[in-house]
Amino acid sequence: MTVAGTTAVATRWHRPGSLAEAAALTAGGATPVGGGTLVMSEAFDVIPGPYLDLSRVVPGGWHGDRVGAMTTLSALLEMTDGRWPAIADAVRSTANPGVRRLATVGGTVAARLAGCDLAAPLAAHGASVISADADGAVHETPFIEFWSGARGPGIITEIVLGPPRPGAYRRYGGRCGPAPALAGVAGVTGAGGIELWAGAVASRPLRLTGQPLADSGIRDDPRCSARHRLRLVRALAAEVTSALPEYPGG
Amino acid sequence: MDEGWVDVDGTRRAAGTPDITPLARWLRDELGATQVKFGCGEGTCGACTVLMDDVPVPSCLVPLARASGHKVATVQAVLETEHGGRVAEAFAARSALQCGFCTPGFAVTVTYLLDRGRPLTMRELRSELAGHLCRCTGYQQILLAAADALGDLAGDPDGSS
Repeated sequence: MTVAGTTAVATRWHRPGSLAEAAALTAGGATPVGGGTLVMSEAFDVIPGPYLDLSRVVPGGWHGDRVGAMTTLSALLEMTDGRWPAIADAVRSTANPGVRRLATVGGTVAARLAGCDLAAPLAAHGASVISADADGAVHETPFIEFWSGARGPGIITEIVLGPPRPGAYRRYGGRCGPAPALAGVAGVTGAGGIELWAGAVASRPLRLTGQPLADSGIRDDPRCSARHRLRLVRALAAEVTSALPEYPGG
Repeated sequence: MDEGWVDVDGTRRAAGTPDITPLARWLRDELGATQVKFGCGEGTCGACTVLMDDVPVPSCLVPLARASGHKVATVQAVLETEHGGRVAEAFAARSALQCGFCTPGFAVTVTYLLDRGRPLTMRELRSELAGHLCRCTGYQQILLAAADALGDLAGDPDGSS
């Protein structure tokens, strides 16, 4: 982070040559950098260095339903459009095309921002997170557990989306443009019916089961009260459900 | 070794010790590339857009260290290309600017869209330009200029396509 109007920023920038080195530096307190948007943006709090450039050690691109963590959001959109529509909708809702060409999937997941659009559809798809520890161990953690903090520091290397499924994502951000979501709902259809998850309303995506969400734990901040967020979730869930192909008239 | 320099508009420039100085700040303050405007500092306004490895990105969000070893083109070099010249002519013909602060960013992105060669509806064109803010014109002339520059690639500016 910089002070506006200044150029010189004294920080340490590490560019490790191996995943093990990167994981060790992370365990030592270095901040992993995917696309760098969160570290650089003046919209967010300062994230202290030293910084860890993952561009040499973490893969981009994808094969099957596995997405390299350094894949940009714009590339994720190309990949998911038409096959994982709920995820594609969420990516389209995130920031703007320029930022999406920089921001990475791994960085977005690692940041765990409350207003993240991607969290609800990843939860709805039953995605999982592949990460590597400093000792070289590789872990696959269900996305919702990862987001909830069950897995400690490590380097995210891949996201497994799960099989392509029909779906939709709708969000409300309060205004046009890149405003973080106040609430979002993702719906995915599968063998077990429709899986609905709410995002941006709590510290983690919440599964919608047909029962009213409990008030406790719902974000209440100057942009939106908890009560209004719950109303938004109900409205967005209805929109998402009606947009799914299995819905009569959808 | 790919650290310590950035190719800016075709010239390799020493970048010193890699750090998180915003690329936009470095271009302006160290290289005098004032054609790159520094606006919001959070990737929202698009005024600082440059091509990095031929792709438009907000350079306020690019750590100098990440640009190290890569090719950066500012609007100055972009407008010297055939497509860039076409975009400049379209913006002038449509009077698609007032204060001009946002214009370099718009010009870079529209030139990229022309280079990419993918057909766009007007709705898609609006989405592609969503990362650029203009506080003067109300966007209509900018969209028309962009459509003019894109020619057959763009949908009908007067229709819903």
